[in-house]
Amino acid sequence: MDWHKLVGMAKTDANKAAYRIASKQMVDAIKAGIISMMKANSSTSGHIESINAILDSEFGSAFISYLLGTGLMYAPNEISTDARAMKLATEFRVGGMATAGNAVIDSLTENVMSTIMSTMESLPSLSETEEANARVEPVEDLEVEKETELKAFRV
Amino acid sequence: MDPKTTYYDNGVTRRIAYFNEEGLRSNFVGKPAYTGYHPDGSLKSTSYWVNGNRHHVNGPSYTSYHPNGITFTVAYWEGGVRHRTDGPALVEYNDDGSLRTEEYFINGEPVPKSFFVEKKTVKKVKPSSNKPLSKKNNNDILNAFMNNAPGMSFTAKQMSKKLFTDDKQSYLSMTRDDAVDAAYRIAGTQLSKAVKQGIVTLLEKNEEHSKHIESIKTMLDTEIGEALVSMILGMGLSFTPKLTENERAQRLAKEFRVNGMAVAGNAAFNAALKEVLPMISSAISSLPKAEGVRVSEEKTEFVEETIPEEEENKKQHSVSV
Repeated sequence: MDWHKLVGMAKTDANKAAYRIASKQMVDAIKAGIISMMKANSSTSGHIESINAILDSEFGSAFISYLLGTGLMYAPNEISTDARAMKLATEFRVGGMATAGNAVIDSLTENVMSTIMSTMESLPSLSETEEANARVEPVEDLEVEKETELKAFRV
Repeated sequence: MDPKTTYYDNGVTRRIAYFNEEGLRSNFVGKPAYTGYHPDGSLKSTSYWVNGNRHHVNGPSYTSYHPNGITFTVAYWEGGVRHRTDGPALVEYNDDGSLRTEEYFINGEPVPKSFFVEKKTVKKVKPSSNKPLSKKNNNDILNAFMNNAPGMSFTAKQMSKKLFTDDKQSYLSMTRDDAVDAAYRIAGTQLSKAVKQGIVTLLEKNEEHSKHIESIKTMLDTEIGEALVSMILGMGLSFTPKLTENERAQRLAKEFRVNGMAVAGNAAFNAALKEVLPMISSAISSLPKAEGVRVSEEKTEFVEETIPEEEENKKQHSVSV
């Protein structure tokens, strides 16, 4: 194992992870800020509560993240020409997409798995099926015996 | 992806180059991989690269300019080979704007000009300038510029439409790249979750050493456990003999490693915020108030004492002068 290669790989990974951590923490902070601002500045109306509920979910995080990533792309020149800001913008966008994708897969898995499990439970148990097979087998054997008898008779 | 920037002795930027993680030249979010400047700061050349290959679909991959601003070279490359289906893939001009050479390529293979003339009339190409356009006759210049573009005839309105389309296409390609990254990230997260769940299930089936198993299960259920599983998967994939040459496997391995680090980092950050911040705030609130005030009073007194002295010195100085 090449030690230098390993260290180089760890450095690159750490660099990427640092941007990922920064973007996640920034999104969380901005989300918390928006939610607390909305709670402080408005009465408990239905719309505001539903917006808060959406923002509080993973889809809310994904939306804020993607919005930040796209917004940074069109920021004033000083920011949009900074390579670090652009890398962070990419991280925001990719993070947003990944969060939304993971949330969709998780909810699908949760719902589909429960549906599959309930369907499986509604199916007859294996012991019942075995009993049914046991009942069928003699009938099949009888039919086979009859056929062989008939063949023998023809011959 | 930080750019490598070099400068002339006079401090003017000489070149800005972007490289990917493997150290190969590559564009960065729609920006050309390489941009060169003349010593006077005017544009010298731009070139688009993707992972070490010259590549640009919506325009020339390489454009260079004479110091007087007249276009020098316009070259079209796709996937590392010279390629253009609606005109010459390489056009060179003299510094007076006259045409020097014109060459036609398809997929890296040179083809005769007649191949294009038979299929589609190619207009004589005149060079464009990289000097800034004045607002006064912006549309006229744009018209002139686009009318002289190889094999095309555009109005300013059409050009703005083309620019918008290019912008839209670059946005779409950026989104596509992001989606690919996100897909790998989702795959990494879901796979590490599945592996973690598998390990927990295996441990649950094994009824011996229940205390150890419980503690391992508890640890795996935390974010640190998730990070650990992700890191182990990443390292394992990175050094699995038959998978070291597989690009997708290596990308997934990298995703596992980075995800592991990021999850652990986020967990540490959140723990620090939860645990350390209240401790710091309680420590600050437990500090005595009076000392701080006394220090500031002392400082204020000291400052007040020094001001008259300084003023007196100034007065004395002005009198002596």
